[in-house]
Amino acid sequence: MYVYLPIAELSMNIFTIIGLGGAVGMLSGIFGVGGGFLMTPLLIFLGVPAPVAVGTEANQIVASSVSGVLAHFRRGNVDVKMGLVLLAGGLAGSTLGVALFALLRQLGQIEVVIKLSFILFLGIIGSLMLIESGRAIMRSRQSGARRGKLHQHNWLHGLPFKMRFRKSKLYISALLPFGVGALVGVLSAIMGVGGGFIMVPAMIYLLGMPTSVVVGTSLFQIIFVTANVTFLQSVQTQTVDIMLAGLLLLGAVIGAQLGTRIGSKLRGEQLRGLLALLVLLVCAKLVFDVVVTPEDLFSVEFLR
Amino acid sequence: MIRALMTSLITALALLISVSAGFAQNRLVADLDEKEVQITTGFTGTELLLFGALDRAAVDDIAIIVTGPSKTIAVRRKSNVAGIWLNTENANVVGLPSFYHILSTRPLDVIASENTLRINKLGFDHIPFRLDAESDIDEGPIEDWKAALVRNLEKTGLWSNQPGKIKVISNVLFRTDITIPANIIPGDYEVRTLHFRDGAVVEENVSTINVVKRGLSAEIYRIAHEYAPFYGIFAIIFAVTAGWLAAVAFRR
Repeated sequence: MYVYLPIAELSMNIFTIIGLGGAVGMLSGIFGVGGGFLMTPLLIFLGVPAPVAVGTEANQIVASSVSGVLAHFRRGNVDVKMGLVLLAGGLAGSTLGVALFALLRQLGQIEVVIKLSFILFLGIIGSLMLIESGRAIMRSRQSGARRGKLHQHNWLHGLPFKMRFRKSKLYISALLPFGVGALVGVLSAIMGVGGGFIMVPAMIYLLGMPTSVVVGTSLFQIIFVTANVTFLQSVQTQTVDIMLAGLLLLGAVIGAQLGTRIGSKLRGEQLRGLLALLVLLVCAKLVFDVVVTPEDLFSVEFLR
Repeated sequence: MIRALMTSLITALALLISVSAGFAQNRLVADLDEKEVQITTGFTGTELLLFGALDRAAVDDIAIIVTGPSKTIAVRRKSNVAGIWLNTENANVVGLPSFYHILSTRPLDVIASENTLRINKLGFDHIPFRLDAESDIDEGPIEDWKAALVRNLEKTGLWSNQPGKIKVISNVLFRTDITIPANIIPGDYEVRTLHFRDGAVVEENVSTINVVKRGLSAEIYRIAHEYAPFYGIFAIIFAVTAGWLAAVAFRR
């Protein structure tokens, strides 16, 4: 059964879309990751124009973050003050990002910039995850692993505008979370991701936040940043396809529920290793796309 | 089934018209089974039947040219920059038909002289190739760009050249199918049916097809473009509601 996607302007099998949503949703359920960083490139592989994949995915992440954050709020795992500072940066960064996106689209360079951004980040994240899961497997075979220092002081702690974040038990410069939020906001606009895969490590290692509040706080600010991206992309580039987003969401909701159940029964390290391999596979396909000599050097696009 | 019945009915009707018009010289009649194409939510493309009759056609040829609304099309050329293939040159071709199908009994260059084709604006070679001021292409044959444009548009199914696609029955009746792809652009389409004799156009018949977007997809597209801020806010509310409902439904 085919459905005509109004913004992507193509016909696609409805079960392919729901299936894709389900598969990525399941992965996010198992690993507790957002999934945007896999969904956007997979949509591009299926023939959805890259700008539409990015705009639509931002819209879908609004929904998945809302449903994710509620559970964290109930458990009190959201540092709202930290979230707001991150968000201030996120709004600035994503607004800048959408403007950059519109400019690159006009120049005909947006497709390749999206792909290169994914290659860079998927490559880094995939490699780190693979190394980390490899180490974890090694560690579980040996015993008595040593514990490193929790918190290190460096020049970052000398920055002005210090602020107290009670929930995170931190007294740091507000510029730090603002900067992290802004950087992730730019990526969110250009790549159609929530940015949790960068935000979470940055919160733990750069800001030194306790892991218990990291995921909830990250989700909290992702809702507003991706909502901002959804709105600005709708106005400036008309790349948000709610038909596509709705169908992906339908699959993702079911997939995530299955994933959470499966995830609790499986061994973590091996699974993380598998996810790392999957991430690297997607990255490799993107590298192939931009490096291999195209069949036709010319391409056409309808402007107006 | 209904379509087959329609076809035979129409054929019979066309035959009748052609016989009754037999006394007049060079009478060409052509029509389509549908004058409107609706792009609905389940649209995957369609075929339109064009049929007609003409007086005495033992050595005559027929060509049908279907043209869609004019658009500006960007043609881009990639080159390798530090190992990565980037779009480095850009030509914006203005006033180009977004749809151009040529259907004929024999190839156009066999049917008529270059001069005839040019005067009647027939064939890919006779579509004006005008670039706007923003175009940025290096020195080199412009023919490469024209060829690339035609090649890429043919790949999308929006342009095509199909010699031999028109079937002529007992020198009087003819019929053909116009393939409408799923990526068709809405607007008015012109269908020109030309009757050639000895390399010259002796008769021409023009009709139009309306391609319209209908249904949910059409509404979504319209709102997204005409009321963009409203659409953006709606998309957010939709996502927040869906996310909240999902969380409530699966709360354990």
